[in-house]
Amino acid sequence: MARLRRAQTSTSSAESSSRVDKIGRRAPIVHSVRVDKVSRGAQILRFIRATVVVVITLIMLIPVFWMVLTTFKSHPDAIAVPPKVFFKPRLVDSFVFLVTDRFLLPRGKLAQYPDECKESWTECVRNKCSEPRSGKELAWYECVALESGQLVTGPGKYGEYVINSLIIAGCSTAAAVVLGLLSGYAYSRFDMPVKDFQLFFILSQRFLPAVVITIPIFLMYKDLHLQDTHLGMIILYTVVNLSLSVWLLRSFIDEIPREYEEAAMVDGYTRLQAIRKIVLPNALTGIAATTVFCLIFAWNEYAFALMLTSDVARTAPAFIPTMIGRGVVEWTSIAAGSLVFLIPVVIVTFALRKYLLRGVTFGAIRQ
Amino acid sequence: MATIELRQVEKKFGDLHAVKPMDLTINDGEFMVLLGPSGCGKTTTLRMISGLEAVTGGQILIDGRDVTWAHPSDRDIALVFQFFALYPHLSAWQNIAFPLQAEGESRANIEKRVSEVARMLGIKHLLHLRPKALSGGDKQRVGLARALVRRPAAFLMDEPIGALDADARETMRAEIKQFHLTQNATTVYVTHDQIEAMALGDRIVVMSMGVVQQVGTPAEVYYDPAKLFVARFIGSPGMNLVTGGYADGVVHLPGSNPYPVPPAWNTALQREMGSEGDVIVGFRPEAGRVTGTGPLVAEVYATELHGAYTVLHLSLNGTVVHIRADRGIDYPIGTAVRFDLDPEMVRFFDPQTEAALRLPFDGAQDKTQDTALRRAQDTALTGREH
Repeated sequence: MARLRRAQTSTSSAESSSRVDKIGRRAPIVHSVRVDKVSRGAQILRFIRATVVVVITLIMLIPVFWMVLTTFKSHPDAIAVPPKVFFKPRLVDSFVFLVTDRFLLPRGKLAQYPDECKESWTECVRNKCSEPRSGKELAWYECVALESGQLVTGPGKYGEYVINSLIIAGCSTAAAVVLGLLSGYAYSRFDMPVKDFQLFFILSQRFLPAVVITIPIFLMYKDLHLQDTHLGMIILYTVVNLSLSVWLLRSFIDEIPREYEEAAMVDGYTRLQAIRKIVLPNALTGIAATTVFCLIFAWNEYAFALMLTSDVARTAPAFIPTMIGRGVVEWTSIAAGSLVFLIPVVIVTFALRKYLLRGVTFGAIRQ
Repeated sequence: MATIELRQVEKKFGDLHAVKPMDLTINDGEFMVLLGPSGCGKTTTLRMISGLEAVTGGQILIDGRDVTWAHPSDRDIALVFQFFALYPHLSAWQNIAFPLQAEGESRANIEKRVSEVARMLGIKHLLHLRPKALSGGDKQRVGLARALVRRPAAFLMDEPIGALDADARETMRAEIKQFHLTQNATTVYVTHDQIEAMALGDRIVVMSMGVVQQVGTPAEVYYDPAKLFVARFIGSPGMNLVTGGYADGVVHLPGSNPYPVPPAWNTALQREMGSEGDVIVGFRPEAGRVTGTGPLVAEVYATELHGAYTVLHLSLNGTVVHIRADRGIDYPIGTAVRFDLDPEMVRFFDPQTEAALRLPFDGAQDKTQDTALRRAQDTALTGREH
């Protein structure tokens, strides 16, 4: 209320000096009154600030950069000591290895393939090479494997687990944001007994690290048959995210003056309609910020996923490290798996960036 | 249009009485102003009528229908907010159309009524703009349009021009008056500005600490305040209130100033307090007249030229009173001056009950004064006879 008043008096006084005539009607703007001069000191300061930001950003991006490099290396290049920065890129190998199960052909078997099939996978495809025993033509990805002397035995689990991740993170984020919006609204607008304690209690769900509560949850889930199910993981991530989303959305809704809904209610709408038509559009910033935070948590979560899922509902973060433990460590496919895994969060964050800039500073909807 | 009736309506926040039980009837087509300092319960009363605040006790009737527990949307009222409360994500047109959409009006009908209202309030050229791009005055015009477009039974306005700057406020005040005269709609208007209340109201409810102090026409609350609070609050500066000892037709004011009570009042005073006792003498600044033969003597404490007139601050042995004098008058500070009070405009208050003492024939002469004043006000504000 007080904030609203301040915001409005400041705009009205700014307008009255330049753009509003005596009787409160708008006067046309005849010329610009902007001053574009910036002092030398401010210019230098701005330059220093920009440099620092760029340097920090580059430092933060080094792991991602290295991951991208590794993805496009061949296996010997990836494990070379000292590490190679310049190498002959292999564009598809690591991705093919990521989504297939293979085994290394024994020397005798490998010798049965004609040489032009083993030289490079493009040659292999062009020559329409086939499997010597069955005479079946090799698919392009089988050619890629053959180039490294491997035979594809079937599809890998990675794709399945990424889809699991998408389902679990998507559903739990949607649930956390919808529930958080409604309870955040209630905490913002209504009086209720021991409200502060309730809010503290909700926040306290986050006090313990995940590893501490995994065992009790594991036991509960075993009894409830929620272990290794999508539903179980969605419920778990929703609950963990709710504390964050209730707090975030409550503070965003606090910024929306009550008068808006009151006006809507006097204008003939019910409270729910007023929430949908008035609060929701004005809380978009907060909803976007909350969505991104919840999504990032649910997408990256590792400890719960490792303990509570084994196959059916296993998520990608819990799967990627297990690739280390299977015979040869295929660093290139691990890098490729991590890179692919980054993409959805980057897309969502990029799509919502215009809200986020205002959202993470909690600037909300000042008029 | 509608009659609004409050029966023993009260509001408590915890143990605190925001509004003590009050009765009030607002007649059809009447412009009722709720006036009082901040925290006096005027806005709470308005919000209870609107249904945004639940009552703790009592009944609210609109046109005889009990709406005490009805949802705001079921009361057929419109509310205009101090800070406009225009929906920031909608254009002015969409804001005005919003209540009609709730009623499920047809698109053509909405178009027609929005442009009708916009033409009336002179905001047709602004309809495509978002609230952020509007000036304060235009924001409130859109707010008024949004209230008006539904043709509600009554308008409730919560300090609608309080957030505007001084110039826009004067313009909007006249516009609201004009708006009321053309619509002739029952209006409840909350303000803390007594000039606004005097200028706009058919009747004024003066409130303080959750209690109704007086309900009356602007002239009544100005000339015949029922309580000391009303006397102080209305007028700028407010009524001069000086305590003195009454005995045998004379009030002894501070600074050994015997003031002979006008004969009409003498009987009233004697009836109320016997032959002697303390009484508060009240008079408006314009009731004082500086004359060489006046019965009261005071020392000039300060003189202020207000342009059209001078306000003399006179000290009666430390008690300062204000007197409105001709603009040519100027005294050096410390000069002793004699002054008299217009016997028609002197009022007396009981220091214990803080209530005004009344003449037996009270009211008869004020009625004529009242109507004349109303007509003058209307003409001045709207610039035309009607």
